[in-house]
Amino acid sequence: MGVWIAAVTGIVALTLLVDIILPEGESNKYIKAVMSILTTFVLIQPLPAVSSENFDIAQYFETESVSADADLEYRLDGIKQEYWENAIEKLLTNNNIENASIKVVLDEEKDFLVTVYLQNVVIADNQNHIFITKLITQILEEKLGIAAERIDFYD
Amino acid sequence: MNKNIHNTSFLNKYKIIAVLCLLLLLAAFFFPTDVFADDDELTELTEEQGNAIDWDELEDFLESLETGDFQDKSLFEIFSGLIHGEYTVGSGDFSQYVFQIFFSRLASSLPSILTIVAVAALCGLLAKNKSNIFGKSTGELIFFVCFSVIIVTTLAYVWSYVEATKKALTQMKTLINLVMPTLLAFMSAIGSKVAVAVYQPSVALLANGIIEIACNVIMPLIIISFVFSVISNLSNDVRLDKITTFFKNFAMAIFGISFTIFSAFLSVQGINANVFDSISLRAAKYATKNYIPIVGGYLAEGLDLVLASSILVKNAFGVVALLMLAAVIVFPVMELVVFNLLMQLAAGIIEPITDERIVKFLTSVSKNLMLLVVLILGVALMFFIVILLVISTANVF
Repeated sequence: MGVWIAAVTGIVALTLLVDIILPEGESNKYIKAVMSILTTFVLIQPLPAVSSENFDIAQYFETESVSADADLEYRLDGIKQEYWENAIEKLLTNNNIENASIKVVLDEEKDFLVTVYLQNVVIADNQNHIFITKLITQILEEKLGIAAERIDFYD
Repeated sequence: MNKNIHNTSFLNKYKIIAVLCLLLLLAAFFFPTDVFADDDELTELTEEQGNAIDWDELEDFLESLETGDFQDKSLFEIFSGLIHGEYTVGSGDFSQYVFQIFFSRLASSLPSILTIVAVAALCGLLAKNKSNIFGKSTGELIFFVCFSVIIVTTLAYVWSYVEATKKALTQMKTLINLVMPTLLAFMSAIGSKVAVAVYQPSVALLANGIIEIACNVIMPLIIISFVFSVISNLSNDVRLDKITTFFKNFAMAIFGISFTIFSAFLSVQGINANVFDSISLRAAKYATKNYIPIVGGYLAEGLDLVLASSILVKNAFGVVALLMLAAVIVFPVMELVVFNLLMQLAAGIIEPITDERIVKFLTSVSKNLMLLVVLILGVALMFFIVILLVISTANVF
């Protein structure tokens, strides 16, 4: 492209030079005609190249993509998990199950996987162990809509 | 009579006060009393999420720009101001700032334009009266000497503006690559998956496709158009006006196609995705609220809080991104607009005194400079649409 522009500039400058240098006379108009034909030739010179050459527009499109900041997403998930751990602990306390520690993990679909640690659990009315897991499952299922298979228990 | 009027106005006052009191009572009745407790939790959540954003990178980027600071505030301060509803970007302040740039650029560019005007006037005095003072050929030579001086002066400026435009475009690309991952992360945290799936490829197309094409295809075409506008005005015999116009229109056609396709697809798909996500989030809220009969929306309220904080942070961050976009483009655009105006002024001043070719040259340079403005503003507008759509995504409240 640069060569072409230089050629066009050159031919126009040459025309000017000829125009200035040549004395007034009959031959002047023929020379001018020749110069303008030359200029036209120079102008159309890159056209065959343009029509034959395959300009590859795809090169500008197939570069790297912009995607969500995975690190930030992880941190946001962390904030969400922490919030829900606290919320579930509070909910259980309100239902007379004290000191259960909760771990919430978000899966791919941002759905909850809840793990309940029962080591320090204090039960209000001397209920037995199996009953507690059932109770917790029931509470979480009823009040938070978390399916039973998404809840794990550890002693 | 007078007393009557006084009485009625007094009554009216009482009526207004009574209505106001009633409204206040109603408002107090409708607003839940524990709103402040929730507010604290919301603030905590938004602050936590705001801190999770990487602000240093953005600050570094902002410092690299010529338009340095936002009223001496850090981006994070602006962001927290926006979240708490304290920071408002006054259009008055902003327009004052823009006009400040405008007039300072005007003052600093005026001398260069005066040089062009002086040389053109000299040329007019010496060469236009060629039949009287010098011969035809000598007059023509003098004209070329003067014209070359004008061309060199003008093109030096034009070249710096072309560089500035390229820089603004690459800076916009950097800004997109800095801002969009964060916004997309917030959107996927909110759960608007469809919108993320729409915006991700569109933003990639803007950042990599359209800006690359602007830098590598459209800018060279504009430069060619500049060069031809110089050559075209060298001689009265060899006119290249039409090919100059062709290159200008060619550049604008490519940009127009990219702009139309991008904004049409993005707005249609974006609005669609926004509505879809809003409805599915609303449906989720509704389902949980009705699923829980007794505690009555414990989860739904909680979901509200987490969601609300994410949405607040997303929107405030979007506004910060818009401010940064403004900071990127304000300076180069004002520079170009001012120089364009001054070129037209110069052409206007020298028109009576000098050769037509110089006037035409200056006019066509100013027309070409407008293409650069259009390029910057067009890309900025596309990015603006993206951010605006992101801000309007999934605002379920």
